[in-house]
Amino acid sequence: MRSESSSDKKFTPLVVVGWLLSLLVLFPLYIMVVNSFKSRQEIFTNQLSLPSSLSFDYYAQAIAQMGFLTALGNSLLITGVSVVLIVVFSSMAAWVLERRKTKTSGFLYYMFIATMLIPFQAIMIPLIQYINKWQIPSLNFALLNTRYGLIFMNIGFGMSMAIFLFHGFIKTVPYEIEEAATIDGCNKFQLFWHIVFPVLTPTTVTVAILNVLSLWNDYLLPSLTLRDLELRTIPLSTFFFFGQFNIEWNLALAGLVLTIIPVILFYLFTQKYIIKGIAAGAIK
Amino acid sequence: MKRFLSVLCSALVLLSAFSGCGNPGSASSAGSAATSGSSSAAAPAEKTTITIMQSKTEIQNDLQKVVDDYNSTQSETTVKLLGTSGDNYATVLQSQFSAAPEKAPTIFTISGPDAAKFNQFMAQLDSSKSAGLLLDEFKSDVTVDGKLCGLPMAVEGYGFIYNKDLFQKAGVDASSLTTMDAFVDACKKLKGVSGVSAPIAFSKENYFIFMHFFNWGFAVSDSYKDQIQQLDSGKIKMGDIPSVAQWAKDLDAIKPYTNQALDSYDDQVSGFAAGKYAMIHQGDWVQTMLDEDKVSFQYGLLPYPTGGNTKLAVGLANAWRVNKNATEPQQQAAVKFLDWLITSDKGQSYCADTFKFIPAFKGLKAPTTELAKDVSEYVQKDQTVPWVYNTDFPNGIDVDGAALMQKYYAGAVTGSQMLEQLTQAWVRDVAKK
Amino acid sequence: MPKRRRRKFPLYYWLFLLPALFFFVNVVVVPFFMGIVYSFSNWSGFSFAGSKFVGFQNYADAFQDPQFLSSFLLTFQYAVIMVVCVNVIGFFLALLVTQNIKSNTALRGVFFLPNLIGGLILGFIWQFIFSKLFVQLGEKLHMTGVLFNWLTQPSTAFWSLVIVSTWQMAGYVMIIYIAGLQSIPSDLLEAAEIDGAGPMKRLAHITLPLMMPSFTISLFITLSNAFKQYDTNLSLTNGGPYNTTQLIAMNIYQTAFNRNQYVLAQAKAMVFFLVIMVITLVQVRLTSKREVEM
Repeated sequence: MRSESSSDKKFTPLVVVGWLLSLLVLFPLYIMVVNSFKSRQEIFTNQLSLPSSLSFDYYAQAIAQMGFLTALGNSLLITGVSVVLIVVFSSMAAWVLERRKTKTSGFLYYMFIATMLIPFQAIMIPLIQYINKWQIPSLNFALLNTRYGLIFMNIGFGMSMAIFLFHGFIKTVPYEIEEAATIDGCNKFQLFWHIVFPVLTPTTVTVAILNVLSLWNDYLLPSLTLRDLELRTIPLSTFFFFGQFNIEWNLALAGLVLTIIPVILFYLFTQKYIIKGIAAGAIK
Repeated sequence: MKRFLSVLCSALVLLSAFSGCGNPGSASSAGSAATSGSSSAAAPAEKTTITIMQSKTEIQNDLQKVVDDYNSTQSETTVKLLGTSGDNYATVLQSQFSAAPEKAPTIFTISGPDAAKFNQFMAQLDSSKSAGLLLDEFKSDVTVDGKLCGLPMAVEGYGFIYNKDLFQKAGVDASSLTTMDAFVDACKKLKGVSGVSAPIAFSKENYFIFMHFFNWGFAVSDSYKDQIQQLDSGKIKMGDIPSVAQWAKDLDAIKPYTNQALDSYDDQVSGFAAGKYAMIHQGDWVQTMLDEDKVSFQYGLLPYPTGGNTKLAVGLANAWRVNKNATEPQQQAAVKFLDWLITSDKGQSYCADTFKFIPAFKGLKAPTTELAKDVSEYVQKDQTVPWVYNTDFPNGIDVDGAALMQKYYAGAVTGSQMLEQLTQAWVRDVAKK
Repeated sequence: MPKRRRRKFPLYYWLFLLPALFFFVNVVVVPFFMGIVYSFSNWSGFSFAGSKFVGFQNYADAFQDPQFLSSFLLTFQYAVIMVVCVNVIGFFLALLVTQNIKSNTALRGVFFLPNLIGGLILGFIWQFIFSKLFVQLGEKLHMTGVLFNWLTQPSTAFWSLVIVSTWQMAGYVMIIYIAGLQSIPSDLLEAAEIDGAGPMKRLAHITLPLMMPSFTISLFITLSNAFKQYDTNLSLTNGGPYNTTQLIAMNIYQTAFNRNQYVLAQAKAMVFFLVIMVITLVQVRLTSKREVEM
């Protein structure tokens, strides 16, 4: 944060308001973090106080039981590839849907966004039945119980909202830029990737963040599609702490803290990037 | 911008490398070594591979070790343990059977009201070695149309777990609590002990607030099967069944001494461990929690004396099932593995000492933990009543019943009004089948 | 607006659309249509083979389920309240952290955090706050009329649900509003400032009109998330006390997986889908019309 608080930033009453508000946000998180250090007994006798001893035992135990590194690798791979492809495919689709306003475009656009309203629970069994048909046993190809199969489904589910977001923001991009580039002899692919896509950076970052957020924490879909232990993502591997009758809260909380750290780092990184990106854009 | 594009490019390169490997199931790309112990990649052709999916998350790690042991001691079968999922296990299992039953796990576990919908996928296990040892009182739970369709994983029992120290301080003799009068009287005395905020605590989860407790109303009756049939067909009401009417009356009597069932399960058990509650309505499954809480006092398990009852409610925690749609060799290998796990010396000691399973079979090793000992004792003396809800309650009654119990504790309905509304919900849920 | 009249659907149009459509159709559209077909049958939740068609029977049953109707109404109430709370707070947060003030980046990170906590953990934390902290504070401050276990009364349990979901969702729409605020050209605002427009005037005449796309998006996302709310409902109140806070998604899930009435659940989902589709598409149309084209 240090480098951000450059001298032209002001300290105003707004800063105080901001930090007061953030207390409301942070308080529940405080409960989460302090209790990840406590024994069961301590958790249920006093949830508010600081832990009596600061030992990382529960973290070590959580890491070991979850198979944390394997799960982290799977989560990174699945989330990373899914998000990149969602951004690529949805931005392309949104651009042509916005720039060619025809009946077909309108229909496709509304189809994309209307399906965002389908409760997942209503299609999950048909989905698994259908996706199971996508297999070629002789080639060892299958969409169920594989990482690329989950990525396939993530992309399908991610399309609607990403297209909706890109569509909304492409509207605000002045059309003249594109016309000028066309006159300069750009073909449509060059036009999109060299001219339009860079202008959409704030939206791209937003789409990426929102998708990282939901995919990283997704439990239901991976639990239905990944059966093998070595394919588990982080949310799936925390099942150890949620028994039928008994939830091991300290381990579950430690596991959660470990789960969200990568996303916080990702968010702060992209925020820094977006600020730089905008500064660069302004100079251009 | 360049930097962002380069990240994008490298991600795409990663993707192409990744999609090239195309080998489902083998963990080649993302540095995996930690969890998978079953090295099944290069199995010889004649070896049968079977898969297991089970719902007890707390034994998953130990079960992996057991499976590894089995794989290393014989060469006919490779057993592969699949991932489990705590909360939505039944849903995951269902999605697999609905997509391709032959690819669903060879061995799976399911019990309780969720089990019925999987009956069509369960292989008959009468000829297994374990089946010969199964205790009679647990046979009906795993029998469908006269065929044995599962091998019990473990037996569990519940009642009131009581704090022996607090009982002593209050001057209550646990063995004398065989009538409701004595029980209520004991509550009165326990209320006076310092530190006790409520003599009895229930927890608010559907199964705990309602299913387990309401079970007593039927379980203590000898003719509950007939009574439930009449109830299903609308011929009688809850209040017409003497043992159920008695249950409601007894609940009215103990209500002032309860925590109003407001605690979560965790809070209830922790409250007991901290001496806030003298008794909790729970079963031997709380052992691990009490161990973690390092309780300093002695405790034991008591039957609920509704209508003069002196028996514990004992039932099957879960049962192993074999997938009927698996290949013939797979089914045979699965039965062989289960027989090994249940009856071999090594398997017995895994079940009793590692998993702490109380066996539902004759003459097998039992665990020695405190609550398990009490349950085994009642089982051996044949002092048990069944878990009726596993076999005879309609689907959805857990939700409706729990909602009514909340209403009852909140004072919105009386005991008899609750029975009235419960009858309506019951008939509605039966009709929905 | 410039005229764009060439060939109606050139090759590149389909090339750009194809990947998106391919994934979308195979993952969402096909299963959705399968679901519609199922809702007219007596499907048992496993293989569809052997199921018979029963016409509108399941739909008729759905409308006779009193819990379905009350969940339906409650969900609308919830959605309306959520849309207002989440967007007002989210927009305010976005405005706050895009001011040129100290520690704005840190604050951005902080407000974003609640989105990262889901499922049972969320329930654990907030159940503690409502059922224990409130009780303790109420006793200490002698305000047991306001501070009691909020999860035990139908109306306060409902508001607990609103508070927790707002706490979670506000940071989410904040991210969308930040993107919107950042795409407003700063020279426009500077020009207005030079012309003597105060902060309020600039907000009302420049920022808000240019933010309409963000409002369209955020309103839609809040609305659809509120309609589909399941996780927080499950982990915080689990529908209780006595089913008074059971939102529609939970009702559908329970119908399918606790009561094993899959086709009834499918029918409920379809009815609900149709109703909210009409509502939200009207909302998107209305707000889209007010967007300023640049």
